[in-house]
Amino acid sequence: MLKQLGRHREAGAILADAHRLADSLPQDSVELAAIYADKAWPDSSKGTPDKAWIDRTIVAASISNHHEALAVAHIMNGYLHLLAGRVPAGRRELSRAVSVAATSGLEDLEADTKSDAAAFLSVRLRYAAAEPFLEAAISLARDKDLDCTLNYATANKARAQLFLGEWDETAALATWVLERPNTSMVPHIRALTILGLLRVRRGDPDANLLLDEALEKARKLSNVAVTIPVRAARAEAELAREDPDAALLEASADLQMALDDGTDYEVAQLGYLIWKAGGRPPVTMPRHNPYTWQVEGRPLEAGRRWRRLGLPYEQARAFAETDDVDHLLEALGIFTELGATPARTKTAERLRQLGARGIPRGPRPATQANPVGLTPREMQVLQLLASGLRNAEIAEQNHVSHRTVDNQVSAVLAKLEAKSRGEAVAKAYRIGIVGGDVTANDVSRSTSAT
Amino acid sequence: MPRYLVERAFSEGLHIPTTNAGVEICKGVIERNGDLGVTWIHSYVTEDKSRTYCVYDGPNAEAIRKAAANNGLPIDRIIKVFVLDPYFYH
Repeated sequence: MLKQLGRHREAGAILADAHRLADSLPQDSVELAAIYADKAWPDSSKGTPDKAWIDRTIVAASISNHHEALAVAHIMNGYLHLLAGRVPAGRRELSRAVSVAATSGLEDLEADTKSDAAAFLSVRLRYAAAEPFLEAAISLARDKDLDCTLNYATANKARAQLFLGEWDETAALATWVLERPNTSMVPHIRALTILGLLRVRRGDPDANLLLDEALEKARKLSNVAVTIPVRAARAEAELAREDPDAALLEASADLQMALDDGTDYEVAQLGYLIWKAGGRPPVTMPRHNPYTWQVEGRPLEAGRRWRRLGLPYEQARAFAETDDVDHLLEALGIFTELGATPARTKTAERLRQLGARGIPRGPRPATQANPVGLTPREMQVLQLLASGLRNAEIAEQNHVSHRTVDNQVSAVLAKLEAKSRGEAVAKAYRIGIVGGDVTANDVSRSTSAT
Repeated sequence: MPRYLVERAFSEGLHIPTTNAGVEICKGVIERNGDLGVTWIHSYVTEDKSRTYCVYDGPNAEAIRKAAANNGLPIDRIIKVFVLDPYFYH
């Protein structure tokens, strides 16, 4: 919706006239509220909304029953609260905007308002709270063919999922945005950045390809909310490559932009990365921020804060900065589960240096994917049970002893919580881990090529 | 199309039956990969069958991961590689 008001701006001269005329318009004029909303925040990619004009917008929009302007005004109010760290008040205002939009009967307004509410919750990294709004915005935008909102909300959902630790989903959403024709710059660059950062955190190849393209495009746009994440991702990439000097350059390059126009978290994140790269973070590190606590050597507090925010990678990264074996092990477990191989390898190395024993290799992904946790061998035994073989026949086929098969069958029964072989087989069919056709699961467990 | 080396760990060993079922399973893998534009070229298996090094052609790392997930296969590491052979300069 801010974007739609933005479209009015294309007719700049007309709008300037309208601003001049605003004072002479009657109080219940429909145009008045829209003009005030535009005065409150002339360019939503720069600066912050003006409180006095927001209040005037609310009055004018209430009198003229202007749903769009009223929703925009509450969104802007919510943004101001969130910027100042007043999260509950901010969320209240965003909810107000969403309910104004939802009761207006204007579905495109509802989609845009939910998408904007989610985007502003991300200012304070409230990705878990943003997710339902994004979900609703995406489904409305898809139904109504609102391409602009659909791309924007999908790119933001890719970002939310990255931070919430749903990495396969992140890859699917970001790839989808990048494959869309005519995507506007903000969602396009965001998708490049998020997919690039995902590759960095997974240790996958070609992160730099995406992050170079993202930087090149972000430079032309000169929008803080787009540029800072690109710089942060590039700094992380350099740190992963063990090149702190290059990381320092990346994290510092647009620090001034963040200090001038950025949010607390944007400044804090760059400051943290500068510190990680061995540099001096800015003197104005935001207070009450987990990144700042990490810089100040309070990784435990930071890790707990990240956990409350629901950001597992950030949590594990903070815990990995402690010297405490238990927290390092927790970090290791989180990195393993996420598939964050480079961070996992480093954490395992730290644990070995500290003399920790029995560092878990982590559950194998194939076993993890199995709903009842059967190993590949147990899965194969289950297959043979399902095809009606007796223990002796299984032993013969697998070239193992009766005793081994007895143990394997007991393990299968236990994991399926079945009292008999028949019950186990029936249950396996019911939950779909064995079936008539060869399924993906069978491949992983019993055999698997490559 | 870039080429990738995919390292996989099988803590319980990799066991492929040399039966028709095994053939069907491999064919299933190939088909599911095909949906994503991923081609399994071939693999190297360690003597103890605990690790495989699989050579793939595919559009990107995400497609390689998706193919692995569809087939329920683990991934330790994906490395982008280029072909080099002894007669490279001839």
